[in-house]
Amino acid sequence: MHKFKALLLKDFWINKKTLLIPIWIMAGFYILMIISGLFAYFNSSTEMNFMQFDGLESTEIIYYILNFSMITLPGLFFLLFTINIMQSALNEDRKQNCELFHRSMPVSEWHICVSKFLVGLVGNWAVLIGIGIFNFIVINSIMAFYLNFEFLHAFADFFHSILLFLKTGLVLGSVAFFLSAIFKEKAFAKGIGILLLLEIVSKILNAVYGWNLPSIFGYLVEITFNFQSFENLGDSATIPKNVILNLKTLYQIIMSGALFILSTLIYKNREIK
Amino acid sequence: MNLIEINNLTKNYKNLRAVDDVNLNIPQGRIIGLLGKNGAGKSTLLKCMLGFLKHEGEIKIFGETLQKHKSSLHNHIAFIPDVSSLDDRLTVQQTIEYVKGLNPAWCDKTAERLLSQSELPLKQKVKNLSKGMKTKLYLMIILSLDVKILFLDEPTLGLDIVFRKEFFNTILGEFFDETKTIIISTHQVEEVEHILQDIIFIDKGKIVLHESIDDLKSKFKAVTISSDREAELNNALLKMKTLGQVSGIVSSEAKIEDAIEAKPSLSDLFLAIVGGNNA
Repeated sequence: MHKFKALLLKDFWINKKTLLIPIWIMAGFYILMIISGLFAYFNSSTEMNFMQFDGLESTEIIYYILNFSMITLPGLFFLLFTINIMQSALNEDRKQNCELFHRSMPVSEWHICVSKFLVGLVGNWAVLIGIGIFNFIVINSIMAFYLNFEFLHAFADFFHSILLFLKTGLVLGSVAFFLSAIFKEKAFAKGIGILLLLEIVSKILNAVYGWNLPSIFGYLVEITFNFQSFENLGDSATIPKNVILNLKTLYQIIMSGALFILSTLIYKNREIK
Repeated sequence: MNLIEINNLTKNYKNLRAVDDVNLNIPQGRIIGLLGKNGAGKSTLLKCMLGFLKHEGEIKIFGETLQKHKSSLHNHIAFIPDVSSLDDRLTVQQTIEYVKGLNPAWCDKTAERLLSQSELPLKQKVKNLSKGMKTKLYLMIILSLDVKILFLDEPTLGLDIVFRKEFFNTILGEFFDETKTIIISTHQVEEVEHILQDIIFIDKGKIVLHESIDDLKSKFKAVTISSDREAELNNALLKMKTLGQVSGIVSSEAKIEDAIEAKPSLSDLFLAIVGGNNA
């Protein structure tokens, strides 16, 4: 446990700056919003009325859209930075010319890989959840003045939205992690490039010879972005079924687990030259 | 019991045989030099001994098969490839904490003493350290580990003469005792000659010689005679001409009249046994 803690700390120190970037961006975004809000307030001669929801029969869809959109920007940052960290997880030591230093330490490759995976994925998860909760409190506190605020409903919408990003990050992060075990540089771009190339070739072969080769890229897109979860928008009662307890979530977890094991085996068996 | 036993070790890189059927027994409490030309197979042999490369044959350390017990055996092994292989992204403090956290053999007392002597800037990133400072950091880390085997693979590459001397003297003074073994791979023979006890010559992946320095030097002598008597050195293992004189490495039993005799240097013996000109 002592060794694993040392590994986790080392990986956190190395990735700390990248992990914190979304927080700084969101802080900048908030500061900009406050400044522009104050500027508009003190310079406007007319009364500000930028939120008008009169006449809407149902507030459910508004809550859902609001909670989904407030997580979209940090969510996209989350996906971007998860890919960024994970695609260099197992190859960065080689690039930095310090692989011999790390691999001569008395620790198993499984521990090394678990630590890198956790810091890259869970670290980004934690940042997204933190930003998400902050956004949730701020936006819903403001919205409570305009709509009938139902905490449970609002939280369910928030939970639904954030879970979609967390699960997408799990799959994309695992794919990037796997590619980092194969390619030394620009692992994600290279991997996706190869998949796209295979997709084009299989489409051509299917068209020319009438074959029915499956689309790996299509499957990956389908399993990564769980569109099934968008059904019954705003219906908080269906969230557990749609987002957590569906078959695609199970596939996502199995696929991520398999990719992690495969990546670690590649890393473990790779010669250090 | 031998500390390290190597049986029929062979390593191929595609069509190149880097290590060729090597058999070695390395005892405890010795400082061993692994000497060879560039590309002779020194680093490959060391990396096999550390479990970094797949290979044919068997390596046992403390009687245990390396491939099966790699991470537990690394508890007793320290390795310095070259000082530039530290992680530039960490600070000095983080590097020390990281190595300390991973190594049960870490000795706090030694570490504190060495750190106070080294004047290392703890908050500085490793990438901002000079090569000399990186050497100090690597030494501080390795010497704080109470391990039984130390592998050094061209550790002083790129360092100036002052740091090279300091490096080996510190290793000798702070690390070595009769329970520990040091294996130094280098092609700069003169640099390590004064600290070595045993020598291994490697050429084209094969072990050409493995014996104690004292035994080796007692078998040969360096002789110098005037150049008009050059023919008397026709059977010498190595012949070198200088201004008006000719020197050679000959068997210690050979008798050449009026010759100036001296103990041969390790580099001359290397050239005599292995040959070549870039030892």
